Formats: sequence, structure tokens, C-alpha cells
Amino acid sequence: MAVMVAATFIGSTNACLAQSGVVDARRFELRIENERIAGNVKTVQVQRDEFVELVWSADRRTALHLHGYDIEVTVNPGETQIMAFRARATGRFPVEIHGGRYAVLLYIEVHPR
Amino acid sequence: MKRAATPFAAALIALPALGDDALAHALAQRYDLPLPLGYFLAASGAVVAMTFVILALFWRHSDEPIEARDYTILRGTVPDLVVTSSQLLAVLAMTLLVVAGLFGNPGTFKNITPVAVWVIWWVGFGFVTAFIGNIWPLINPWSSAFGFAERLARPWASGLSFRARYPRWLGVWPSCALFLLFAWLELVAPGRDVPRNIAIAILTYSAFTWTGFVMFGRDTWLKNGEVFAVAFGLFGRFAPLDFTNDGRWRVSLRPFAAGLLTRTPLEPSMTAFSLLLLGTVTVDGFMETPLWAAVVAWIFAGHGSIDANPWLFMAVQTALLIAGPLLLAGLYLVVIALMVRISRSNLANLSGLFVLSLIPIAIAYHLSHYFSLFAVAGQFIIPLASDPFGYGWDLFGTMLYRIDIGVVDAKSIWYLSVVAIVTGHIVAVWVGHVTASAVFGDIRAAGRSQYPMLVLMVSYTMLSLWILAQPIVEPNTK
Repeated sequence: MAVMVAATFIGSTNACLAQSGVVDARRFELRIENERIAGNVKTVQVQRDEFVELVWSADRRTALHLHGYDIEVTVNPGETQIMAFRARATGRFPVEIHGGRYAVLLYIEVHPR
Repeated sequence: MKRAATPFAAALIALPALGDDALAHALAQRYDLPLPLGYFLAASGAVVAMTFVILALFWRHSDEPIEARDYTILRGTVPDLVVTSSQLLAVLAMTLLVVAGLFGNPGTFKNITPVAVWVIWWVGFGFVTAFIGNIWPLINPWSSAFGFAERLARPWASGLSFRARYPRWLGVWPSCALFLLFAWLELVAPGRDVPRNIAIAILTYSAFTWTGFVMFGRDTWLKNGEVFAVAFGLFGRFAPLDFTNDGRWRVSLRPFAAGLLTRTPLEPSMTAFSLLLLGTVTVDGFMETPLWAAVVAWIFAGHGSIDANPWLFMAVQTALLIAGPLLLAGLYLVVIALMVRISRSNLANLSGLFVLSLIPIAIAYHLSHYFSLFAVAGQFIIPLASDPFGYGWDLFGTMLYRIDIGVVDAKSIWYLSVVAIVTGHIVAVWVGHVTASAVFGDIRAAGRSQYPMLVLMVSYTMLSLWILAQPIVEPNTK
């Protein structure tokens, strides 16, 4: 229940959600090398209302921004950073690298049920 | 407007607002999911099927030519008090946008000007114009301010205009040029989300418009050179409410699209303006498709990245913006030339008669394309109304409103798109047929004349649908 409550207020409580470790989360491990995602992943698709965890690692310090849901993390080499949220809004949301260039790295597609 | 300010744009003009760059992207961004294959196929099937159904209906039932008739259902007068207070509000609103743009917070989302101009006015007011009625002539702030000035000056001068003779050949060509410039500012120009740039653009355009009023008289310039009056006038032909002025503002109610029926051909410049408007609406969506991204990548092969070569990217985007409407105009003229062959009319006459029948397709696409942007980005006006200058005010207690990106579900947008596109197409085919009946008299000739037009309409509708079914991507050459 606590998890549900926390998840409802995405945006303010992402860290909270990530730490609590939601059981049924859709988890995606995404490795950034040379400002691209390894394995040539371009799009991640999830269903509305799913719990999503994007687990980021990178070969250099990288600032990431998931638009729409408006979540920002900065990944340092050798560590992972998690963007966790409940996919309550449908749409196609870009993740961009910030600082210097603004290339779209990945699109998160949240499909309606 | 929808796509993110490009990297070089950020580098060029967003320097004072670096803290806001994340937000600056958001205004530019649409989060629409592509139309799924099932919806795409259903809509395409319906479009083709309905085309034949309407065709069959017309062959059977329209034995007599349909003359231009009065479609008015109800008439009324708009009270002067309503008109004057709306005009006053419009002038104040424009002043606020200029002042906020010049002196307010430079952050795109901390200043009321970008959202108010691009989302609320250009998209939102555009919807009102097409689906309710074109109230722009009533509230046009440039026209209103000039009217107030003339009233103030009355004791000394009978008017503020030289009333020079407007050259007939010039037609609405000034508006064509201005619209192309406006579309370029909306779709290509770097820094289009920067409040100060928008304020400067408004001031420049104000000076230009008032010069036009002073030289040729307000009414003449509004008809020919005030690009928004011309553009909204075109969209407003689709709307059920029609506003006219005979000294007082009259309003009449008519069926949707009745204003698109005409027996008087448009002037060639107005035909060109319509094709330009139709073309840019499509280019706008096409610029975000993977196909266009691939074309950009192909052009950039060997020229480095977009960041390294921003001017080339701008040149490529500009070329598309010009080529798109030219291509549409070319195809349209081919269709009209085919029509000329089976009638005794000429190209100028027929091209001025049938261009309006394409408007419903563009309006339907425009609605499908922009509805979610309006619903999502439009919400920014709620906090910004409380703090228009980004100074930290909270006039109405809404400053902390957080926008809800889930306000409309993708499924609703898909249904809306399919219904809008199919309906728009049906209306277009209907307008084309009614016009043809009126022009050709003989129903068989009218029917035959429409074959090439139907091919164009189906293609234009399919192109709109296809764009909606494409995932939105940003050109990236890296």
C-alpha cells in the first residue's frame, strides 16, 4: 500500500519508489556508450499503469532527462542510476542527454490498454 | 514550434536561460503515439469507401445543378458593448505579451508569451476559428488599436489613412509572403520559443501592419496584407458562425463548411495563399517523420552532425517548407488542367473555385495533429496566468499548478483522429461535388470532372493519415 501511495505521486517521490523496489516493475537495463545506447535500443514500450524502472549506466558522466514525466538523473561511470515511475500517462516520451548536445537517446512509448 | 529548439539554437540564444533548457524543450515537444496500424487501415478503408458512396449518391440524386443558396439558419447582432470590450481586452492582451516578452523572465515556461502565442493563440484560437467561428475580425488587436486611435483623433482628422489606391494585381500576395515567413518562424527559425524574440516579432509586425493601414486604409489592408486576418478568414469559412460588418457586427448560423461553397472563383493570389496554408500544415507534420529524418541524414552524409553544421540543417528545413506547398500547388494545377479539358472554363477560373474543397482535409489533420499539444502544453497558461512575467507572483493562486500529461489518453486521440480525418474527407468530397454541380451544370460532366480531384483528395487524406501513423522523431545525424 505504501508503495502504491508513493507511486501515485511520481515526480516528487521517484527516489522513494526506486528504493522500495516495486515487485512487478518492468525493468530495462540501459548502457550508454559513446552517447548511444548499447545494443542499438531506440524505443522502449510499456503499457499504461505499469511500473517502469530504467536502470542507467554509462561510460562517461551523462545527464539524462525523460521528458513529459520530467525525471532527471546524472549517471557517473561505474555506477547505475534508476528512473522509476508509474506509466500513468500514455505517449511517446524522449530521453535526452543534456549538457552540450541535446540528442534524443531513446523514446519511451507508453501505450494505452 | 513543436520540435525542440535545435542544439545550435540553444547555444545561440538560450544562454541567459540555461537553467530552463529542459523546459524549453517541452514546449516544442509533442508526445503523441503514432496511430496504430489497425486504426490506420480502418480510417483508410473508410476514406476510400465513403468517396465511392458519395460519388454514387451524386450520380443518382442530383439531377439539377445546385445553385449557390442561402444556408443561413439564424441571424443576430453582436452588442457593441461586447465588441468594444473584447477589442479592449485583445489590445491589452497583446500589450501584456509584448511587455512580458521584453521585460519578463527569459525562460520559455517562466514567461507567458511563448505559450500564449504558440499554443493558446495560434493553435487554440485557430481551433475556435475553424470549429466555432472566426471572431478575429471583431477582436483583431492591430485593427482595434488603430480604430481607437482614429476615434481619438477624430476632432482633428477624419481618418489616419492616406487611402492610397491598392494595386489590384497585388491581391493577397503580401499575405502569402508574410505567411511563408510566419511558417518559417514557427517551424524552422532558431529561438522561436524565446519570449524576447516573440515580443520583437510582434512589435515588428505591428509596425508593418499599421503602416499598411495608414497607407491603404484599414479595411483594404485587412483584406490583403494582414496575414492572420486572411488565414483565419480561410479557416473560418468552415465554421458554423459567420461574422459580418455592415456598420454593426452581425452573426449568422449556418451548417459546417457552408462557407466553403462559392460560385465566385478566388483571386489567383488567394488560391496561392490557400495552397500555401494547406502545404505548410502537411510539411509541419512531415518534418517529424522517420522518413524526413532519413532524408536529412542522407543529405548530411559527409557533412558531419547537425550541431557542427546548423546552417545546412536550416537550409534543408527551409527547402522543404518551400518545396512542400509548391509540390501541392503543382499537383493541384495538374488536376485543374485535367478538369479544364472536359469543360469550357479556364484554369484561373477553376483553380479559384475548387481550392476551398481541400480545406476540410487540412482542418481535420490540423485538429488531429495539434489536439494533444493544445490539451497538454495549453495547461501551462494556468500557472503563467498567475505569474505572467516569471517574477514569482501568484495573482490567482495557480502559480504552483503542475501540468497533467495524462489529461487525454492516446486512445481518445486516435479515435478523434480517425473520426476527424474521415469526416474531413467526406466534407471535402461533398464541397467538391456541390461546387462542380454549380459550375458545370450538367451532373454527368460534374461527376466526371471530379475524378482527378478525388484522386488528389484521397492522396492528400492518406498522406495526412500516414503522417499521423509515423512515430515522431527528431532528425539526428550522429
